[in-house]
Amino acid sequence: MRYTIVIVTHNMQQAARDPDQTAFFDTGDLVEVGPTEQIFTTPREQRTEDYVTGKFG
Amino acid sequence: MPTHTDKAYEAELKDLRDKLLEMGGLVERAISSSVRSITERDSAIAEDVKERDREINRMEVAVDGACRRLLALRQPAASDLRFITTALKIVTDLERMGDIAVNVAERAIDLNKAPALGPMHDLSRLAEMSERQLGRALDAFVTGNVTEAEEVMHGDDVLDALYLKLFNDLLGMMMEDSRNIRRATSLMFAAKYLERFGDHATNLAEMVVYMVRGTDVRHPKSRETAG
Repeated sequence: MRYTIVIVTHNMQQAARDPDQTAFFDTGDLVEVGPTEQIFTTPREQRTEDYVTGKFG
Repeated sequence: MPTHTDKAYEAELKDLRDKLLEMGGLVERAISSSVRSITERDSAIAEDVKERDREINRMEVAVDGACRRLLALRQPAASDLRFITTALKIVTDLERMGDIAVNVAERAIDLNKAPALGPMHDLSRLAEMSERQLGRALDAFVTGNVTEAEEVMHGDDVLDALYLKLFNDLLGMMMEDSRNIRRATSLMFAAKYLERFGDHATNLAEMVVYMVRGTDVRHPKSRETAG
C-alpha cells in the first residue's frame, strides 16, 4: 500500500526538510507547487520568493 | 522591492554585500597599481601592492565568517541562499585576484632593476581590459544585471586574443636578441597573470548569472559530454 502524507505547516525548516513536493498557499490561493528543492532554491513565483526569504508572513 | 521583515537579517545581508564590494575595490586598485609599477618603473608602488594584499586576505576571512554565520543562524532560502553561496565562491576568486596583483608586482620589482624593454602599450591595454572586466562583473553583481555579466563572459575572448598577441611579440623580442630573454620572460609572466585575472572575472560573472537566474552556466561543454 502507498501513502501520500500532506503536512500543513508554517515551519520553514520542516517544510524544507521533510517533503518531496511543496505547495505554497497564500491567503487561500495556491501560488506555486513543485519539488521542495526548487521551491527553496529557485522558486518561479515572486510571492513564493518573498515568503521563503522572509519578506512577509 | 520588499525587504526582509527581520531588519537585523536585512542588515547582515547588506553588510555582506558591502564587504564584497569593498574587497572588489581593493582588488581593482591592486591590479591597476601593480601594472602602473611596471609602466612607470616605480617599485615603491609594487611594494605597496604587496603590503595592501594583507587587507584583501583579511577581508576574505571576514566574508567567509559572515557567510557561515548567515547559513547557520538564518537558514536562508531562494535568492538569499543563492546570494550567500555566490558570495562564498566569488570571495575566493577575489582573494586569488589579489594574489595575482602581488605576482605582477613581484615581476615589476624584477623588471625595474634593468633597462625598459620597449613600450608597454599592449601590457597597459591588457591591464585596463582585465580591470574593466572585474569592474563590470562587480557592477553586475550589485545590480543583478545578467546582460552585463554575459558581456563580461564574452569579453574574455578579446582579452585572450590580446594576451596571445603580446606573447608572440615578446617571443619575437627574445629571438631577436638573447639579452632580452630575462625581461621578456618577466613580461610574459605579467601578461599571463593578467590573462588569468580576466578568467577570475569571468568566474565572477558566471556566478552572478547563477545568483540572479538560479541556472548554472559554468562549463557548458563538460556538461554536454556528461550528457
